[in-house]
Amino acid sequence: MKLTEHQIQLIDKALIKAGINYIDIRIELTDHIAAALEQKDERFEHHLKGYMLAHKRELKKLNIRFIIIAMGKAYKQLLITLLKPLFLVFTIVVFTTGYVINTFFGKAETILTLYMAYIGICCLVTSKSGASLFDATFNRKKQYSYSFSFAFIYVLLFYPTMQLFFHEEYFNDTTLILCFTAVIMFSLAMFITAKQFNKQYKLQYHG
Amino acid sequence: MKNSQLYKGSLNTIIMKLLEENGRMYGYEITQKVKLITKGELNITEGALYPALHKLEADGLLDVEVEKVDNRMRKYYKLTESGEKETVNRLNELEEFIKNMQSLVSPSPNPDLQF
Repeated sequence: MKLTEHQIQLIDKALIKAGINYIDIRIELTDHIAAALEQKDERFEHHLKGYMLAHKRELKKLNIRFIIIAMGKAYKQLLITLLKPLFLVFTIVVFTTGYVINTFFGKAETILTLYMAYIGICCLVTSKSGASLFDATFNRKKQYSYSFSFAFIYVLLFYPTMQLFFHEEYFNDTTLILCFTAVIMFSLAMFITAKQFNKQYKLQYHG
Repeated sequence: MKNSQLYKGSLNTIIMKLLEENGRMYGYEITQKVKLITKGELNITEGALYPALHKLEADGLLDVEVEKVDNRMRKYYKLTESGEKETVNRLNELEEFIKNMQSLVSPSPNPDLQF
């Protein structure tokens, strides 16, 4: 028995209901379940319910394992991006710019400029051109599994960066510029890597 | 998976061997092929198969092609060039392992070792 498009959608919905949200994971599991149900008789909904009941726990575990493997892949690529010579040169440029601003305009202006640069990158990430942080965190149905790894770090980075901005008096000038440079470059590397992955996944799954 | 502890270590090699023989395969097809070859003795669950496939893909040993088949998307896996080389290595390793296990489990009498 070949499944109709409507029946395929029902499998997809059942997976979402079971907590499997990311598109790439759903695509693979939908095909697996559909292929298994095609071997059964015409009572599609009965068999789908049975399958989901019997495999719900295993599917959830599988979902987590998929995300962990995707995270590993994403972080490996992130490291490659960070270690690119051009990226290292750009890091020095950002640090030097911060240092020059600090020399001529003072600490407050430097921190504001660097903080704005960081916020700018965050806005870039949440824009449609990259992997949306909002979608990755709250609307995972539209996202690929790798996006979790970046959303996770952005959230982690946000709090310490806020602390740097609001408690600048605790740090000396060089430490502050160095910290902001690291945060900016790390965010930028994540943005570039997320964009690469998004392009790759889109090409793979949607031609 | 039946006798999971015994088969677990060989799952990647089993997958790679099947892909070497069949060119490209999708997940469900792999489970069915293994079932068929082992006459139903070995049943690879999705919980064991897909993480192994994803790990092999992340390691650059497998390549992926996605196609629309019967109203849905299907992910096919195939060996990359380094995957093909690695398959040969792993099969050799597995063969050696089986040989050693066989010698341990049912040793043939060796006159040189008899005291």
